[in-house]
Amino acid sequence: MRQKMLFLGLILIILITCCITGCKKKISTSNSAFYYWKTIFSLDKPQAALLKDAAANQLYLRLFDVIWDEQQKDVRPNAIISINQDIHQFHIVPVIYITNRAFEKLSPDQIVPLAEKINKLINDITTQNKISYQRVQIDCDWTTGTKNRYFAFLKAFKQLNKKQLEATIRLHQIKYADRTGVPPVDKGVLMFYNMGKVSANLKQRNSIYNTTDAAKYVKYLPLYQLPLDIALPLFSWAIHIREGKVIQIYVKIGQQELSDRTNFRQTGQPNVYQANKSFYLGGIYIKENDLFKFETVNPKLLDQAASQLSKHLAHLEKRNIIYYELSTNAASALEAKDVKEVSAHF
Amino acid sequence: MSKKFLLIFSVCFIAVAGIVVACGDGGYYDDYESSSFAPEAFVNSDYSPFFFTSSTTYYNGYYMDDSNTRYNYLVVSEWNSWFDNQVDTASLKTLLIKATAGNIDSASRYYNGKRNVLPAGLPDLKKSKANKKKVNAFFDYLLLAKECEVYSVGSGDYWSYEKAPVKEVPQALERTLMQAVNQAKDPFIKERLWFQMVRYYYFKQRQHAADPTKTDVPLPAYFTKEGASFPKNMIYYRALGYLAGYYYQKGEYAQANYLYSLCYNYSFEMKIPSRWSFHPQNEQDWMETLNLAKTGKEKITLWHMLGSRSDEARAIKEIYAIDPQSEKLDLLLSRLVNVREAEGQASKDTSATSKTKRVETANERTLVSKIANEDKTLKPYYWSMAAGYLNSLSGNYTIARTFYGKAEKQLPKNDTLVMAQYEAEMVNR
Repeated sequence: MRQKMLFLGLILIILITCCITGCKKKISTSNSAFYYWKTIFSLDKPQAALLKDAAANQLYLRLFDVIWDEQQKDVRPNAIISINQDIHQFHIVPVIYITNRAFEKLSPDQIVPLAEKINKLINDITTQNKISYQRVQIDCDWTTGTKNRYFAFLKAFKQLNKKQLEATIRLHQIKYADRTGVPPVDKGVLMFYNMGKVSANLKQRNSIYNTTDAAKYVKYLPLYQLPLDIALPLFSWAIHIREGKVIQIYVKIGQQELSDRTNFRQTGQPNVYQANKSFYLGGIYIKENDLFKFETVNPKLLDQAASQLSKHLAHLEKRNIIYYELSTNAASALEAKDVKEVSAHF
Repeated sequence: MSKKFLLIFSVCFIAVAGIVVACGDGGYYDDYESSSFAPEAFVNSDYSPFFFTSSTTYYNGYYMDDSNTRYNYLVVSEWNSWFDNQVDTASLKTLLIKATAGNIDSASRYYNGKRNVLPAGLPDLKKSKANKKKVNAFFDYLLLAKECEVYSVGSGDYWSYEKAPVKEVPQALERTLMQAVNQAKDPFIKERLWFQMVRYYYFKQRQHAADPTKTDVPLPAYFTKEGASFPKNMIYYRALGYLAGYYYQKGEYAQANYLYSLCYNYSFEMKIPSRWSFHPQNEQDWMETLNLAKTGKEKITLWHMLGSRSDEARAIKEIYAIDPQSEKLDLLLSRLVNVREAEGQASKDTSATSKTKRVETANERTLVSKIANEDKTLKPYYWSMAAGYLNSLSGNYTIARTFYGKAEKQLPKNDTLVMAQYEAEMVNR
């Protein structure tokens, strides 16, 4: 009997120990942050609150784009940010978006001058707005054809700027890393969205995020040669389709606009709307019978994305989880705890 | 029409459709197409920047999109006329366009004997036969005008950054300009000073827009009060463009777009900036804009602008109902045909093309054929040829042949471009 009691006791202790260790959640060390992509920087109260509560004021701020000017035959900045409020309380990482076309067109001797101009413009903007920064993020969807020029640019820029340098990495650049190369930066930021095809096919999977398309890429992640922060989607858009062709994508057209029955009718597809007439809406001209396919990422889908992705990442302490982006309706629909829950996957 | 011709028609015009490269943060379209329907043959060249092209903003690489230099040539030639050609255009160009305020001051002092040496590079107006009073009035005007350039002319350097979204518009200048307008006797100079005053208010308002505590400027009232007496010339319409910009800044889009349409209609030089600025926002402000139009002609310009940007067929219908003889139909018809051609329509509408495309092309053919049959337009041959071409694009060769036959009888035989276009289409018959 005594032996039996001891045995039972032992089993109980083992069970309790297992339970304690097994149920103990892995503590996440990740940090949340937001992108801000609009040209005019002006946060309303809910946005400011979300940025503070969910992300401790960590802000990746797009300062300007760099585009190829077909008429001038030269690269130039575009949509330089206009900062209309005090910004000093935010921890800012300047982000510069450079079109791949710029590198397609740029001659090799223009690379260092471009790095100089971009570095100067970043410093002019940050100095005049009293922004101190420790890192710069460059966003460019480079390809095998532009790899050499883009990477040379990154090296030249780093030499001038001297701060930490990071670059966005798209999923195809992970999968085909042997061809597209790994950029010479301190850190990569994996853009975990825009993985599907933007298509006029009304039944096409959600192009922002879907598990099927994501699965084709995530298995290559552990092999990637850079530490990776993560950018997650927090936006919706409407794909404008005319005569069977995608003609534009609008972030500013949302569920609210599309639900207006005087302008649109719902089709057999729940997320597809058809224009009843030709009319202007928010500066956009819509023709009768145009179709709008609405795609979005709701909190549930976002959580699914985080869960799918986190399983395939190499370990990294204090990984930054950056949500794209703060000014969207999708962001305003979230609460700080939702954001923290998603980030806790990493 | 031989079978060979049919084959060429059906093959040549299947353009390679654009592929969308979408990446959320940008994207561009790559299109390759060739046209067999040349707008040059039918449409006034004033509209040439807006001929259909899918890869660049303006047709034929047209580059007139520099706000700092757009009117330079006109400004010089207007002053040259005012001086009765007594001051050559090279000298005027130097003084009007290149010289600084300091340069003008030196040139003026030198002209009046208050300075012995003329700084290098500046023209010596003492040598001209121009009326002395006029030269002095010119210098006085220029001194003020150069002061206004501080806030009205951009640096032109894309890579420069200034935190203040707009440059400081000096407060004291308002009174100086106002006095100058009131005192000016010469109507040419008076109108230019009035223009400077209007532009001053426009930039003052822009500066205010960044600071909501500041009050409104009296631009509309000033424009109406003083503007009524001036001839409705280039400088008047340029001032009107600033009034439009003022309304745009205030979010009064109906007014802004109506005024931009008047500028668009005024001259070739104003067409690009006016069309660039023309942005109806919602159906309501667009309706208000239409209601602001005082005449059928003004309404036609508005529909023409909507049409050439967004919806050629709808605009053609509206304009045709107001005045079938309107020349503003021409550009729209060329665009309608060229856009459809670039879409790469299949030879038969019963093919796998989407339903909306079939409906749309059928509507276009019906519209253009109807107008061609009614013979009410300025250029009936143009409509007949377009109807023929659209029908052949859709594989309706019998109907196409009828329209080409009709066109043949209507052709202006002395118009070599139209004849060349007709022959180009018939060459394989």
